[in-house]
Amino acid sequence: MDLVIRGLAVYLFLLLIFRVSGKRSLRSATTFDFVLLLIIAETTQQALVGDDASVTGAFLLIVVLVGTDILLSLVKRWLPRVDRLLEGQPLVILRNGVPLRARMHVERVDEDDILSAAREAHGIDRLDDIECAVLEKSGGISIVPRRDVES
Amino acid sequence: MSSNPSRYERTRCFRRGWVFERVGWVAMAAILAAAVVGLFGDGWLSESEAAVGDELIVRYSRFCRAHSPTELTVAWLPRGQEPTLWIARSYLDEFAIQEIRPTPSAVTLEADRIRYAFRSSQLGARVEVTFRLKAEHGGPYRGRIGVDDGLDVEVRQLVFP
Repeated sequence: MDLVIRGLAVYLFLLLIFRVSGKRSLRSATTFDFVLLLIIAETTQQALVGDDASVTGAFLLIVVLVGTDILLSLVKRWLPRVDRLLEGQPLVILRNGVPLRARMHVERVDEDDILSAAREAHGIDRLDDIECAVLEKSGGISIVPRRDVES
Repeated sequence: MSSNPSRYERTRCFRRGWVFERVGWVAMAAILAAAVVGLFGDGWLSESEAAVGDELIVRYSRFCRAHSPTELTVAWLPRGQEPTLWIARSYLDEFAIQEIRPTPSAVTLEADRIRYAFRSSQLGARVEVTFRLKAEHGGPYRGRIGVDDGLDVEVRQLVFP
């Protein structure tokens, strides 16, 4: 019982923290982001396990975390509003080569991020050659090149 | 169109996988439900009590996990000013005692049991002692616990590894 509550609490807290921190938080994993992730993992592990070193306890916690994840994925499919609330939704941040700066400012994305994604995906190095850039739910930026550039 | 579907279109194979997934989900839900009610310790199903009338009550977890703390509480009406309780050595061989609340005033090793004595200023008042234990290994365990050379009860526990 105690383990189930602890697992649920940690899962929901992490969900909330990463939702609040924004899509881009850990997407561009710098060395420091990586270290931060390790610290979070270590802290979480201590909070989850406490002084329980049993194999059964570990199995139970894994079932709690994976089970909650599956349940939430089902809830998100049944209730799109919950999906939007928890995951956010894709956001257009550049259209016809023109950056939508207000949106980019809120999402903490700059032109370099868009150009970086454009170079990686399509070898494009000019904003004018992009028809549309979308900040995806995952925090990644997808690029739709202009048709004449694509051909 | 080819009569042989590609390996990405063999729906029978995928269907088996989907069924396996769904069965897994149900199993996980069942495990979680069992954990919530206390099948693996800390819950309603796990709470157990062995008693001799009102004079001796031992509360403990019927189910617990190895290397994880569990509590055993002995409550009794002492006959003298130095209440004592004993626990069978065979039982304590399987558990590490992490803490005894309140701390006993004396511990005596006997042939097949360990006796704990406490000081009480109130004659005839109920005494309650809690042992914080940690099982060393998984398995079914039995042990006898008694007080003041008279009453005793048996506790039965199933320790998950």
